[in-house]
Order: sequence, then structure tokens, then C-alpha cells
Amino acid sequence: MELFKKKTFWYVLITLLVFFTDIWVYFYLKNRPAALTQPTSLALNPTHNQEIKSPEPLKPNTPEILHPPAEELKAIKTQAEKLSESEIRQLAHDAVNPQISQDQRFKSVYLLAHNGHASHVLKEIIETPIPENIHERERDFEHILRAQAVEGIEMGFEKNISRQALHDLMQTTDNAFLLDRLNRAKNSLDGVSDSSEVQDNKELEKIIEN
Amino acid sequence: MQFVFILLLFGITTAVGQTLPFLDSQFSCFKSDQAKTYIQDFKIKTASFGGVELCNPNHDFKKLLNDLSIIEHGRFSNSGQSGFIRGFIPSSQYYNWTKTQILRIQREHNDPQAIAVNVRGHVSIQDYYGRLSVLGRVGTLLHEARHTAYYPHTLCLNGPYAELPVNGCDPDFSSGGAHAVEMEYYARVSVQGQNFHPMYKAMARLSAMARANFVFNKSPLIKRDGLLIQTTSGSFWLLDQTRWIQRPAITYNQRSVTGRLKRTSFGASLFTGNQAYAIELYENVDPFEAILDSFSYYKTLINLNTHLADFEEFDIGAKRNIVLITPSQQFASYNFKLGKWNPAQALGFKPLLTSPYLADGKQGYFLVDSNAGVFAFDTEKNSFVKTSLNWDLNAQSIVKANGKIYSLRIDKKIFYLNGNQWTELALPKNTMAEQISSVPLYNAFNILE
Repeated sequence: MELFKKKTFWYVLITLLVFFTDIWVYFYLKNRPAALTQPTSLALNPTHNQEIKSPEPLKPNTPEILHPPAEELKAIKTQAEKLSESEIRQLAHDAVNPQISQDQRFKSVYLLAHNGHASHVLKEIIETPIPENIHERERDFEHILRAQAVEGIEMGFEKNISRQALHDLMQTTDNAFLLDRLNRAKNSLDGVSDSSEVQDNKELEKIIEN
Repeated sequence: MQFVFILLLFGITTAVGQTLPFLDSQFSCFKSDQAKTYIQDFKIKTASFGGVELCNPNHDFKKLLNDLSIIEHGRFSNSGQSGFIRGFIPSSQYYNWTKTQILRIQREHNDPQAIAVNVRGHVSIQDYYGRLSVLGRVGTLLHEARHTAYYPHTLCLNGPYAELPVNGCDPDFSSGGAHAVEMEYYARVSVQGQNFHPMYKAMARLSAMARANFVFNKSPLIKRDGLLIQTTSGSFWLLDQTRWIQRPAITYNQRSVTGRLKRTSFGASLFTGNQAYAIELYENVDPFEAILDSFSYYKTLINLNTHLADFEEFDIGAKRNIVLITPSQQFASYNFKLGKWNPAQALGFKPLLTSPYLADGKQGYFLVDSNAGVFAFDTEKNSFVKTSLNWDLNAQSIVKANGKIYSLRIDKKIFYLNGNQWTELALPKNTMAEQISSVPLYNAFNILE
């Protein structure tokens, strides 16, 4: 009975209860399909065209490795910075290939954007003409893809190369949305404003919170 | 106690730390009981999909399961700058709300132009659906769910879908239509999303920014147009909503630069016929030595080496346009694809004045002849086309700013349209207006006194 009067006993008991509940939640969520991710080391596969063309059904008991979003981002950046020149070229080719899924194409640009040395291919992606006679949603996606490429140039490690690429793009781009993205990126590089991502989130916060 | 704390932390982080997938191929197979739940909740006609498919990531039914699981399991924080969350749909209720709005889902092939169609809560998913990204499909489901409560679209007045004969836009974000619900979701994923993949969040942010420009007649993005007035002394006053901000005249070798006040894509410039000089709006730099405008397309003047009668940079839909007019009444437009000017063409008349706006707020490039006839630049025909409109010759210029139409009259008074009435604008003391223009202003940059 003395034991029940001690605070330590109750602290330990509650902690153990929380701990075991979380372990139960962990395994419960693990078995829910929406929570599964594959390890990012499998994400960069130069032959993923084959994956798209003839995917095999996934087995029900595929091992899962779970990453919190911050760790996922860190892994993506680590992977992106280690891309070889041939991998960069392959990703650039995939990014503008309409036969590849939109998510796969966006991932290609996202990886290139986080490489830091891919401004030249990102510029090529932006300059690739948007196909004519496509659905409005597909056209929106083409703009979004190129906007991500603009941010990739903004994030480039060699700022002079980034500035020149943005300058060149502003001469030949007549799309008002992309020009806006280029302007944001240029202002960020010039130190006049925050990064494009921060600018966007500030504006989006005001829209949804006012 | 430290050990206790660490145990608690471990428990908490394992519970909320999982990232939702980004690619269809990252979703594993669904268990049949989970698929049954979705089938029941949304009355999915599985036969129309060719049966239930739990594993194949390329199958439309499996893609639909992926999308519904994202809607169900997406988590959002409730924190924000103001602490007040405006929501058309509570962020914790996307799944439940969608379930109440979508009464049935089936797969059809009868509308090749649509992604999905909602008829009184019955959503038919069309062929384009499977071609979209996961985010695009989730946004489409939420968009279509909103249409159950009607919220029809309207004609687009701006952006890439303007002048198309289809109702593709919403009037504004506040009306809470289907585009607003979709955009709110994208914005929340970016700003408040807790367990979304970084790529999903990036795509959501860019989707919100893109669609805010394309699908609202009044964009919710905080890019506003201010009214810029050049006074008779050469200095400037900027009216930003209700705030007056003064800026000095542009000087060159201690002399005031004179020219035509022009709106540019990044602000405003004084166009002298040979060059354009940028006006500093965000900081008060006095004296302000002239700097060539190398930010907007007025920079093309730098290499032209010729004197022009007029030069205009303007947007029609999603497209930026540049047109010049020579003193001999010829005009040319810039060909961005070729990176050079199209061949000059004769105007056929001498413009009395030029304007980037009409009195109804329409934006473009308009010429007025001596008979008050209005000619509008037609980008498809690459020429000026006579309209049926007449210009009020009492108006020296018309601009649209601060949500209003302003007119500078030939008596140098400024009026704004208040309903159907023109009301005189009270100017700062001892100010005489010489020219007016609208200027784009970005919330990302602060305008300092």
C-alpha cells in the first residue's frame, strides 16, 4: 500500500501505459496502407521507365521503412547532392517526358532542384515548350513543374550561374505566371526578399488564416 | 525523470511521425476490409472500374483508394499567425465532409474533356483522372465534392482561360466555391500539413500559387495594384489602398527626368521615347538618380537605339506582350519564341492617346484616334482592331488600381468610379496630378515611408 502512495510509482505507471499505447498505435498505423513509404534509396533508379511501363503488383507483405517528413526531406537532399552527371541527364529527360506520370516527373525536377549544380538542365526544362492542345489541368501541371525548376535554379550553389540563368529566362519567357516565379527567385537571390518558398507560404498563410 | 521524459517523447514521435506516400507506386496493397469501407462510404460502383483492384498502382480503382486514404489520413496543425483559422472545410474533417458530399463514385468514359463530373452528388471519374498526380486527383475529388452544394463556376475574366466560352472560374476566393475549397486544401497542405511528403507539399504550394492566378476573377494572392500619380513638379504619390506614400522625382545630373508614366511588370517607369527609367516604390531614396529599367521588358529599349512614340508591356490572359509604336505610325510586337521583333506594320492613323485600360476595367493596349474611336491590340491577329467603343475625350488616362477604376481628366482632376458615379479623389495637399498609372505591389515587400 505504501507503494501506491509514492509519486514515482504513478509516474512510472503512467509512462509505461503511454509507452505501450504508442507502441500499439505504431503497429496499428503501420498496417494501414496509407502510412507506408518505400526507402528513398530505391527512389533513384535510372531504369524507372521500366517501372512505369510494366509495374508488377506489390506484395501484401512488402517491408516498410517509415520516415517522418523532416527525415524524408533530409534523405532526399542527401541523395540529390550525390547525383552523377548521367543521373542528372536522365532525370532531366524524364522531367519533360509526357509518357511518364506527373508525380514521377515532378520528383525528377525536385531532385534536380535540390542537387545545387543542375541549373543548366533546370533551365532547359523551363525552356522546353509546353505541348499544345492539352487539358487545362495538364497545362497547370506543366507550369507547376517549371515553377519548381525555377526554384531549383534559385537554390543553386553557384549564385552567379543562377543569376545568369534567371536573366536569360526572363528574356524569352512570355508566360506571366513563370515570369512572376522568375522575379521572386531573382529578388531572393538579390537579397531583396525571402526565398520563393517562404514568400509563398507567407501569402498562403494570410489567405487561409484571415 | 529524464528517462521518463525520453520514453514519452519516443512514444509521441512514433505515433505522428509517418509520412504519407507521394507516388502511386509507394502505396502498398490495400486490405480488403479497408477497401470495403471506402466502397461503402462513397458508394463506389466497382464494376464500372472493372472490379476491385487492391494492388496494381496503374489501375484507376487502386488510384482512387490511394486518393481517399490521403484525404482520410492527412493531418494538419491548427497553429497560425493570427490564431484564427478560416475554413470552408474544417481541416480535421476532410474525409467526413467528402463522404457527406459525394453520394456515389463511378468510372465513365463519356466526357473526354473532363477529369470528373458531379451531378447532384454522383461523381463520375473520367479518363483524364488517372493521368493526374496524386495531389491533382485529391484536389479534384475535393473540388467536385464542393459542387454537390452547387457553387457553379463563371466565365473567366483574367488569366489563361479568359475569353474561352466556358465557365471555368470562380468570382473570388471568399465565395468558397469549388476552386476555393481546392486551393484551401493545397494551401493547408503547404502551410499546416504535418504528415505529407515534402514533394507533395511542394507541389501543393506551387499548385495553390498557380491556380490562384488562373481560376479566380479576383485573385486571392496578395498582389495588389496601387495608384501612382506623377505631380506637376515631377515627384510621385503612391496610393496603396488608403495609404499615401510620397516619392521624389527621378533626376539625372540634377535635372528632373520627364517622360510618359508607364506601368511595368515589376512596378512603374518613366518612358522618354528612347529609354525607360525605373521608379523606386519600396524605399524613399532622395535624391533618386535615374536608373535604366532593366527589370521589365522595357529593358529591350536599351539595345534598340531608336526614338519611339510609345511602348507598352501588358498581359492578356497568361501571355505577356510588348508592342512599340514609331513616330511614323508603325507598330511592331515582340516575338518571344524567336527572341526578336515581328516586322513592323502600318497603323493607318495617328493615335491621339494610348491606354492600358478601358473604362470597364478591361486590360490590354488600346489606341484612341482623333474621332474618339478605340482600337484594341489583338494578340491572335497581331494587329490593332477597331472596337465599337468610343473614348470620353475628357479623360486623359484610365487605370485600374485599389480595386477601382480611376480617370485623370484633362483638367488634371482624378475621379474614381463609385458604382455608376464618378467621384473626385481627394489628393494630398498642394498636389496637382500630371499623369497616373497603376503599379503592381507585392505583399512580400514592405513599402517604407
